[in-house]
Amino acid sequence: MVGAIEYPPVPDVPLEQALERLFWRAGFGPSAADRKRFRRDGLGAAIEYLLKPQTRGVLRGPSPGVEDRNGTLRPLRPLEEYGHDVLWWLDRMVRTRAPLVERMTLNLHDHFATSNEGLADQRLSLRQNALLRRHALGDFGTLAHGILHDFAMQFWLNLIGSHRDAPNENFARELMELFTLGSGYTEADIREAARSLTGFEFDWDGEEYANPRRYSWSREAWDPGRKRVFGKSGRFRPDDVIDLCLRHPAHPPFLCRKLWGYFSPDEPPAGTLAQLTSAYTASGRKLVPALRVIFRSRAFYDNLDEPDLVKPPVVFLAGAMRATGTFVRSDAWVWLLFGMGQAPFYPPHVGGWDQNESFLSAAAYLSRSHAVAHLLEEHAFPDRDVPASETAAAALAGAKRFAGSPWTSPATDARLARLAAELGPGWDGDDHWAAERRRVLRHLLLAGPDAQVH
Amino acid sequence: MVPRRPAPRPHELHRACSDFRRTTRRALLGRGAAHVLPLPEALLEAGAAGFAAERRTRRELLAGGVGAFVALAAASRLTPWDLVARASAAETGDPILVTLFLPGGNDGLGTVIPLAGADRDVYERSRPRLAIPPEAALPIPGHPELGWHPAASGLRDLYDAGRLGVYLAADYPNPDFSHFHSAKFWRSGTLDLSAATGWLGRYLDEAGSLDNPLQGIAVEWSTDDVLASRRAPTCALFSPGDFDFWSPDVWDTDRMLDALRELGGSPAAPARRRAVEIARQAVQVRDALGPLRAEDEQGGAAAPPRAYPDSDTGAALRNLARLLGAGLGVRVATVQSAGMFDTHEGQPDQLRWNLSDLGAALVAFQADLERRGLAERVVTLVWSEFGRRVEDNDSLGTDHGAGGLLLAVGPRTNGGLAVPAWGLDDLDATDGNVPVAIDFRDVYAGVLEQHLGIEAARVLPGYAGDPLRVIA
Repeated sequence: MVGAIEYPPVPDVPLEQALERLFWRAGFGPSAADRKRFRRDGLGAAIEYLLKPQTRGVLRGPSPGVEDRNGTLRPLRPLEEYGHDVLWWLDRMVRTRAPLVERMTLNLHDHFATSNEGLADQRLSLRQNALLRRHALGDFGTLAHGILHDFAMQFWLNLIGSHRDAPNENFARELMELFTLGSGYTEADIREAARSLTGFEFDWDGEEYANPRRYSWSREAWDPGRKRVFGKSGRFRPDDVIDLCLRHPAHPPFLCRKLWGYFSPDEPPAGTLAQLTSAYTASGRKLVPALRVIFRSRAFYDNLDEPDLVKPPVVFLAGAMRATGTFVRSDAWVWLLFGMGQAPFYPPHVGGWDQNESFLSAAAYLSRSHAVAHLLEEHAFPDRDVPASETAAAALAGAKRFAGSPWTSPATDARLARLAAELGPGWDGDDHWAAERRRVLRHLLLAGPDAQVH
Repeated sequence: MVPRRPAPRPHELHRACSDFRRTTRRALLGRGAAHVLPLPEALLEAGAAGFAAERRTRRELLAGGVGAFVALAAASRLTPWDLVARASAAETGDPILVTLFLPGGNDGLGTVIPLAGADRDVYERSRPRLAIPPEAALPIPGHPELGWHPAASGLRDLYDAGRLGVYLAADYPNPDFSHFHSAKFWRSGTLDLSAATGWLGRYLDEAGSLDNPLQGIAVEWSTDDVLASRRAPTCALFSPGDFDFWSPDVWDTDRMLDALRELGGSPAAPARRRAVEIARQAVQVRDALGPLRAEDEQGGAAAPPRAYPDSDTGAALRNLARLLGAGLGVRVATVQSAGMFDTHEGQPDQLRWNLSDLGAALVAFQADLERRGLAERVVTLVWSEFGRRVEDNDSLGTDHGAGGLLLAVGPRTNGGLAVPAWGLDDLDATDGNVPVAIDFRDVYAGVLEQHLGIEAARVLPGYAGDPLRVIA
């Protein structure tokens, strides 16, 4: 069943810019070490490094926590405390050495969007998160079956309690529309699939929502009659519906187009989509072959001079934290992520987050600036740390190093240079201004318009 | 026959938990405001006094409208409400349209309930678990066969005052029961899934300005596609008083923002262009909202004449009333209810909360607008992406269905019922759905032509229907 897959050759594109593109869109930005290593080893090696990540010692750097009033760092309690699940995942994005795993887990969270707002216990979301991470570079078919049996999803889309006498269509509809097909089915298919998907039950007597023993599938609650889905007829059970969807001809192109959309603002070229679909199908619905096609496609590296995809807010934040060596020590990141429009575990609806330019409203932009302000609080320094003799050029170069040497447009460089020249030490006869210059340059490099795209 | 399991009471427990969680979330998010606007201690030091004075001058420059009046108020003993009325009067008097979205698909049939006749028979037969007894419903004068949901007293009050037009079974032909598809149609005002603009975004493209992002405000936590436009800038902001930039130990925020609005150049790629534009607009909006921030710094806005409910619905409408009263040139605005209307389960509790919240928020909003002398200019359209199936399900809920409920609120609206009954007599013909009686685009067209004064076809592409009489 698994045939040889033909991958496109690694494209011949300017290496440094291509590495920026790859490490940002497949992760949270390159580190200085990443840049150095793959300038030597090349783009192909960088792609394989991301696709075959290490599995031990993945997190490095200090453990996360929340500082209390006395400045003592309390460990996170992601299972129990509101918002700590968000911090827990943010910390993984900040500290991981397997960035594509976290980025794909985020993409799959968007794809199978489930929100704590509809769940009684955030442990359910963390359980689902583990499922998504396990298959982030794995097999989509196995994941789709896993999602059917995922407790968070069963609550979220009303599989629980969907009884043969009154099937609930919610999961059946989203399974086809959002998770696997997009088109190529009818309202009748949804109704019949909903009948097949009946029988999941929850033992309401108790407190622990994450206890697997309280979840079951009951033959008696399931509709045993014949159903007709996509023109096929049978006494389908829940897992049969997943297989029917996975084998539907609309599935591979739908999923591959969706996957592509997480990495590029443009439609995939027809040839690329064909390669992508064929790699996905020939590999038995594996994600790594599909991702390899994407990262080797020429179109992924379009517009290298001008980044053309808005960073999702949590990617923007985790990227800025990685670039500046900032770690999770405060719970303010939770409300800042809400303000930016993307708190993990709280997608706005089952369709996930509207991507790219939709992330940028004036208010969300302001929250991105506030997030940078909060990040800079972690790196606060007294005025006296900055010598009055620091030149404008040195101030700008230092601020760029602090911000992780980000991409900046020529227009930004020119305007920041002018600002650095104006806002000099001794301005207004006060020694505050050399320090203010450093602070403002750092803020604008991390929060300015160029920092919003990748 | 398999024995049915008992009614799932613990859903209520489940929901109680999520209400609790939302409370803690609000508590946590509420701390945001304090974090966002820390008072820069440096500004309070004697050495920085000169700078602070210079800053105030700039603020005065920016602060037209209410801000200047408020600064004056300390000396003149005018009440804040006098000031607000003056600021509103300074506006041009353009009509204003607000859309209020009930996310998830509101159960129209459970909001305006059949009490007698053929519809009642079908309703009782189809909803053995959810049917509300006629005596519990709130009467609708002149329509003994219909009644309001018992928790909808706010809507009842508006209706009885002649300020509520009710459009039963409003939808479009061949309704689509996907949240995303259907909401897309309602937001775009077309039946085109690939429409790139929203109906009020196109209105602003036709009749708005090219340089005032405050002309269209999503009083929400993110943008709203109702306002998606080709040219006209719009913005999203929930809480006007909190809208300001800061950076730690930076004294001269204005200087930082002067640079920010010039970063990035004039890029070609849409994403970069958006980033550059949105940074500039954020600064522009921050400057324009200076008066409202000043009002907050001086003790906050005056208490509204009627209390808003303590929910995001109430907060959004309260914030919107302040924005409308500040003379910012708002023409259209969108708001989203805090209610969760996708009642596949636990509908009785959820709908009770939703409708009580909605009615109370609208009543408070109308009173607030009147106090500000704005009520005559504002129409609020309340919409949801669809209604719900006539038959209830086994989870004390209802599934997605056709023919929802559309409401038009305001003193100028044509109050009353546009159609007098749900017409449930032949459910087989509609696959168990409420038959569609009104095309929502005929209501949009009525609002556009009779309230906003623009030909409907300029905003609704290819529109050739008969606009309903939405304005009296």
